Amino acid sequence: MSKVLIVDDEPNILMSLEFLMRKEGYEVFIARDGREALNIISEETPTVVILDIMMPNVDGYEVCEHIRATERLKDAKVIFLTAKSKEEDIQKGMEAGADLYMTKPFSTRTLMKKVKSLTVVNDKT
Amino acid sequence: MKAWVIIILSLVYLSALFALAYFVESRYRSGRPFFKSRWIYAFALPVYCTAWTYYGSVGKAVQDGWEFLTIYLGPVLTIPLWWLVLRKMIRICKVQRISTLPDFVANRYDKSLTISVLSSVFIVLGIIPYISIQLKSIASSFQILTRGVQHADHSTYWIYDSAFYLSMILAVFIIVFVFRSLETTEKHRGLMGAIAADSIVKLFAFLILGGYVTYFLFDGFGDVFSRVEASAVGKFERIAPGQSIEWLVLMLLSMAAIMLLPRQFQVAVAENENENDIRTAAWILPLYLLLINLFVVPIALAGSAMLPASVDPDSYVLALPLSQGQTALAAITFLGGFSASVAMIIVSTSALSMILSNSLLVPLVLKRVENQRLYANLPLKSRRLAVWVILFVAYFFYKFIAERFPLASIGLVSFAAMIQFAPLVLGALFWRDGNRHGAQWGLIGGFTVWAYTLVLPTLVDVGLLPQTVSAEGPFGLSWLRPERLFGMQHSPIVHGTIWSLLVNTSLYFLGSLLKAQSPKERNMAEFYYDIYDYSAKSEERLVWKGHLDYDDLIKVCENLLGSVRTKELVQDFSSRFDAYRKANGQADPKFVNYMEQVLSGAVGSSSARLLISSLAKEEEVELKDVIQLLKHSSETDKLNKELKARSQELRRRTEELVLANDRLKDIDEEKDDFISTVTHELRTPLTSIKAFVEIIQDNPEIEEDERDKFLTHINEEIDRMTRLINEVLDMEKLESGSTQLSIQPIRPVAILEDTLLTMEHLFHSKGIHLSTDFGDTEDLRIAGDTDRLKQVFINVLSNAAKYVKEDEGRVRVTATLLNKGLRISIVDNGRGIRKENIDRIFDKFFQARDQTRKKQKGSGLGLSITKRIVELHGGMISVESEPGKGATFSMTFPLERQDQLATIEHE
Repeated sequence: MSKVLIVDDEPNILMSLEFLMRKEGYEVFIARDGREALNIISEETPTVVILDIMMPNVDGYEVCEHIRATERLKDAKVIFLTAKSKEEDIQKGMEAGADLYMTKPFSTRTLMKKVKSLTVVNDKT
Repeated sequence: MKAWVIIILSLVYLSALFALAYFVESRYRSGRPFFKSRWIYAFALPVYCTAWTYYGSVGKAVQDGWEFLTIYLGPVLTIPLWWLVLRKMIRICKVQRISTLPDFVANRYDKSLTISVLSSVFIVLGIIPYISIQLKSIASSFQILTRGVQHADHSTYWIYDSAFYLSMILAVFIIVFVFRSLETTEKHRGLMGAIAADSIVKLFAFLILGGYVTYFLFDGFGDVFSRVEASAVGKFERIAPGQSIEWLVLMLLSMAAIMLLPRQFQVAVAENENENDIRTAAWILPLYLLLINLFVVPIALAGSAMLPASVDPDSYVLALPLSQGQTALAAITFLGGFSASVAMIIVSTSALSMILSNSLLVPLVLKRVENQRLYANLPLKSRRLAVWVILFVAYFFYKFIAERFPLASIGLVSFAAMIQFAPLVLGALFWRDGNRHGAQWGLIGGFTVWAYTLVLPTLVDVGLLPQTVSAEGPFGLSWLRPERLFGMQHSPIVHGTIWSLLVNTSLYFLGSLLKAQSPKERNMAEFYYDIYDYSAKSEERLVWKGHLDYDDLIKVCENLLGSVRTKELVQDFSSRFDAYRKANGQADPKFVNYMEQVLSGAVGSSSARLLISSLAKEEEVELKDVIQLLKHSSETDKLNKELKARSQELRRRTEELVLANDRLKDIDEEKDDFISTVTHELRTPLTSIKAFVEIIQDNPEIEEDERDKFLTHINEEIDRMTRLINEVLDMEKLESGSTQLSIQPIRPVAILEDTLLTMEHLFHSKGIHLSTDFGDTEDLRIAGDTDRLKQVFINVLSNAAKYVKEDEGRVRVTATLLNKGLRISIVDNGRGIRKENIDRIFDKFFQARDQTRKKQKGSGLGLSITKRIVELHGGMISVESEPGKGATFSMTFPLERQDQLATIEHE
């Protein structure tokens, strides 16, 4: 069973995504900011990480870079989920090592499909 | 005394002088000058003291008492002006390569050939008699020594006349030491050295004689006065009250003479090597004049007491030692007088021949002769010729006319001739608007009157004109009597000076004011006036327009100056400027100016002008050319000031624009930030709403209460968006000023109490302890908007409530009366604000980054709106905080005067 880590400082977004992920049968971890996320990935090895960018303490870019710098997490897929929609923000996100960049507001249906495809690929390899 | 002894003595002296001149010159040329230039300069200036001083002062003292002193007081009075006047003349001459007074004047006044010729003629006429009297003094002193005072006889046949041979010798000296090289701007160090030596010799000789008379024949100054008859002493007891005008005029004459006499101009201006040498001369000259006059009165008194009345007072100086049998002393005295004459003759003759050659001979030849080959060595030849001419004329004048006059009178007539140049020279230095017409009129008028009042009577005296002209006036017109013009009664010299100077000056001003300057003259006028600014690159400061073939110019220069010198000059020029020759073979205008200046040094400015204009197709220089070039003319001064003011205005505006632009950029960025922040803030609730809606749509099977929970969240997020939109709009209104506060006299504290009442529930529910202290501020009124003020209080109070811990929170609200304001403070014991955030807490959308508590209610605009409203009330809001210990928000509102509040009420 794939593990999904959701990182966002908006409680309602966390709540809705957690509901949807659990329903799909993923093992869900949630973090309210970058620091909590780092704590979690120091122990867990999620398959997919859904990351907000603008968060207190440690931002999404840093979390992403940390993931990419950690050997154990090399297979983790990172999806940025953010209100930052400028071209340069997307560029920066991709450079930080993201697999996918989605801007808010997004459709949960699309997100779920993407997460599913990413986990399937992951399971195959 | 035997004649041959004196002749040998004179020859030895002259040889010594030649040797000294040669020594000084060669030491200088070898780069090891023997004397410092400032000492030579300082001791050359007393060339002013001629035989007239040496013999004539005593004569004048015997006749007129103290009056002889005026001739020396005048120069001393000019010393304070030297730095201003003399230095300026020196600088102009140096830059423009001018070495004579007529050049100096003509160059300034439109390079006028007329002025050049006129002034040179006047000067030569005015000065030759002066040279003659020097010859006369040598000849008569020679005779006094050889034959004794009583038997002196001037009617010697010229072949036996010492003065004749002396003239020859001096002519040779001048040609050897002065007119050796072509460019007259070259300094003549040998000449200057010889002159300085002469000054020292004549001073010592006179001091020795004076000392002998005062301390050997008498027992000091007091004794001289007490032992001489009362009638002789009487002249020195007081100055006659009616003499003041006489004194004034004589001093004025000598003031002009010390700088304008050809020999003085030569020594003080043309030969000056360093402007700072003036400083040394400024104390040496007065000291010198004091010393040389120290014994004049004792000698005069002693002479009139001890010598027979038949002895000419002009010869007392020699007669006194002779009468005592002191032949050695008499010989020394003779040498002193000899040196005074020799120095004067040498310098005056050099200067005059330069003047004659530069301003008269060369221009005349150049005007008539087309053949360029004739140019070669023309200036040098003409100068040498002029030396002979001048000395011969001077000799014959002495031989046939000067015999009959006392020394002093001819000297003063020469002085009066030279003062005619004073208005022109001062105008050249300090008046931009003086012009050639004024200069010509003044010069002609002045010299006419001078000749009429001072020379004409002389001609009558020597019998060339009938007595009646002088006594009854020409054609019997008594008001035109040469020495009594319009009935004015003064001594001839005073009379003549006053009238000539009056006519001269009036005409000079009249001509200058009535007629206009040509642009080219204006150019030169500015150049003279502001010489210190222009001296660096004079070639660039003068306008020259026209076409002049470079090769033609070079050919002329080679003819006149030699090809070696010409090459040097071209090199010198090209080391300072880029181009001397334009692509089309024309000479660069700067190069033309440069060469004209060099040629001025060789042939005088008028001739140089003639040469250039004959070679070139010149174009009329227009005023705009001059103005373009000159920075300092009064017109351009005005223009410049205007331009400066305008450019300052422009700069100021540009700065304002830059600032405004920066501000606009800031505002623009702020707006961008604002919009991106607002959209970000809107996306967040939208995202949640969309997520919940999709969940509910896609999962019809979910439990009722779970669905309700989601719907409640949707509702909350919609509220959040609504609030945000409202506040954005509110902020926008406040910032753009589109909402007016409805200003009324209000009681802020009452409004605060009201607000607290409505918020009581919130505080209570969070267990916050609230305390208040309003003192007696409740009735204080300000001009304000009740609803807006309430909004402010709600914002700050809810902020406090938000950040304190539940059940531990304490909020204290106080109001205090300040000097002219009301302060309301809201203190909480919440988390406080980090130091780095304090300044930014009122910024739009600044939400403290370290908020760990999830989901602050608020758009991030609350405090910005609060601040804006407080400011619109004329108040201030500030915050103090220590992290972990809470924050204090203080608002201060100004208390209006009650009458102002009353007017608001009535509106």
